[in-house]
Amino acid sequence: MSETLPPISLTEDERDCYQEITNVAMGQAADRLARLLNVYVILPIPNVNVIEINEFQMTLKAIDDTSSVSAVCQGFIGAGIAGEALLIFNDSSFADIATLLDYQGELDQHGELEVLMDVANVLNGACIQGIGEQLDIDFNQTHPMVLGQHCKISDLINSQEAKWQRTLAIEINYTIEDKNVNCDLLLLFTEDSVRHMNRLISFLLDD
Amino acid sequence: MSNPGLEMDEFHWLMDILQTVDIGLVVLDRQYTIKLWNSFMENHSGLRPDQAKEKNLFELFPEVEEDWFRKKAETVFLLKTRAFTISDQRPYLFYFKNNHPITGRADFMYQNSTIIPLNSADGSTHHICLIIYDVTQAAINKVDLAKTRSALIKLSNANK
Repeated sequence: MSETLPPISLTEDERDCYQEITNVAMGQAADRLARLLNVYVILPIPNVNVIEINEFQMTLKAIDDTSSVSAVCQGFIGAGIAGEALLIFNDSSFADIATLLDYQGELDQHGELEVLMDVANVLNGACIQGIGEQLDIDFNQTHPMVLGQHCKISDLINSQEAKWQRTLAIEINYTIEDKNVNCDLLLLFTEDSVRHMNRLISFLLDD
Repeated sequence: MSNPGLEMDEFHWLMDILQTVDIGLVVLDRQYTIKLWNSFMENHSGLRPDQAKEKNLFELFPEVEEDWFRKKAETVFLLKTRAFTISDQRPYLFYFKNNHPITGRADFMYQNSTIIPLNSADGSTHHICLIIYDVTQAAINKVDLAKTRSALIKLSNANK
């Protein structure tokens, strides 16, 4: 059935609307992270794009192609909208974020996983909840899954085996003032979710 | 029109379901006192609700590492977002026996957990719910896969 539908696209207004919704959600997420860590979190403007599967690898590479990264993904679903939150963490950020989180143990692979999960819990949770609140949806969240530790970003996802054609990608880059902490949160929505969300935000756009 | 009889029925159904689902449910207050203990927890721990309720979680289950768990739970109280732990971080929170004592190969139950905030009527969070999932099968498969993979790598290197 979905094959008969035209590919999704965004009007300028719709893109602005998604950007605004994300702005509010990530503002809440940053506020939570700031309260937890007692730091100033720098917020950029989120990047909203509909991307084809063959562009996805390029999007990932554009985030970071040189250093090694660790990543976790977490699915969310509710009211006809489904997607995944992908948190990509630059491996050089671990030392600083562990200090901020007051992590006592040794920062080996296991220690890094703890840190990664703690950051993912706060950022993913706050963003997904924040977007949900604005659309009046109570999302279900799955358990996070480790996509890889210390790998190249292009190895994270095998696009040859992917089942999707295009996705709405919202990219948020978090950095912390005066600290070497750099992580990217990618919110990826499935095509049918976007059709549904476009309907939901059309009510917001009308006012 | 709401039907009080049906609402009562629904409440009983929900209670039945709560006691039957294969998921552990524990409600804790700010001091980590156990306030709710469902049958999953009862059956796997061997402690009846009256033995577990109003007891401190860390005193009753020394295997739950206090510092580690507090850190996760405090963010839930503070930020009102859910927190997740996966068995890759630590295999279990509660030391429960494997669900397949005869055919299974694991010594204990691997667990994922979710901690959710429970909001009071005034919006404040004084309680959290700890949800325990049995992920033994998936965890064992993952270990097996890693073993097979390294065996294959060894084989292919030997053939070079």
